Amino acid sequence: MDFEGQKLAEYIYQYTIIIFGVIGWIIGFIKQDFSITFYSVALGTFLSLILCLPNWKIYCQHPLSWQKPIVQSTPTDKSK
Amino acid sequence: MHSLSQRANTIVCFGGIVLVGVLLLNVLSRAFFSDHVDVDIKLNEIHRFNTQRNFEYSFISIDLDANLEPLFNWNTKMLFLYVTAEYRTKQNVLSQVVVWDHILTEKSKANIHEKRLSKYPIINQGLGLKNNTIKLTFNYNVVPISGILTRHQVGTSEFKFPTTYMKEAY
Repeated sequence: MDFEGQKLAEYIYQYTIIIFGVIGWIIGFIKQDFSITFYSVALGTFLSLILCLPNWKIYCQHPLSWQKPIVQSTPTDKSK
Repeated sequence: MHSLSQRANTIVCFGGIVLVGVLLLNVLSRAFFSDHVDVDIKLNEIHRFNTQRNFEYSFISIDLDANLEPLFNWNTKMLFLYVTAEYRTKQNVLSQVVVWDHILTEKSKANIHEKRLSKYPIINQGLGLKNNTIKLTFNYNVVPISGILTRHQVGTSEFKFPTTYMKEAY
């Protein structure tokens, strides 16, 4: 997971859990049953674990371009 | 977010935070539910009323009409119901005795129309129940899923004990 991927994963899990929480709260309020709200938040957490835990391909689209390793010439090489 | 275990930690932790937020909103929503109930309580019969050396005991049964369905909202775990008998004697300023109690967990059973309820006897420390006025009070505690437990008192009725002790039937 690169830096851009980490940012994206953070957005995804936060929005998923919050949206599930809000929807669960509304349905729980209408049905007057808090267990619906609880299971909704739990489901949102579980889903975002699936979405963000493994190193999926979309999180690896901005790989860092590292500098090429400098080949140091040692004095012993010069003498040869 | 750079490693697997760190991501797992962050996500589960955030799930917990959202759960606490939802729970907090749930507690706040309690203010919008009415907690008004009509309760009718009265004495059915005094079954026993007698004395032994230095104390008095009595066994009474009560009639209860209570519709507690409005108390069941999404933040109600259960209701604890109890009926107290309150009286004053020369010996003690105020005595309160629980004569009946019940734990209610289901809304479908919250409409109570019961006759001749009795559970615990009234045992008075000392003498002085004869011709004394007893106040019956219906109490209920709302045990919530989250938030504070609230105590309420509704429906009272009064009755008087007879001026003489009752003969035991057995």
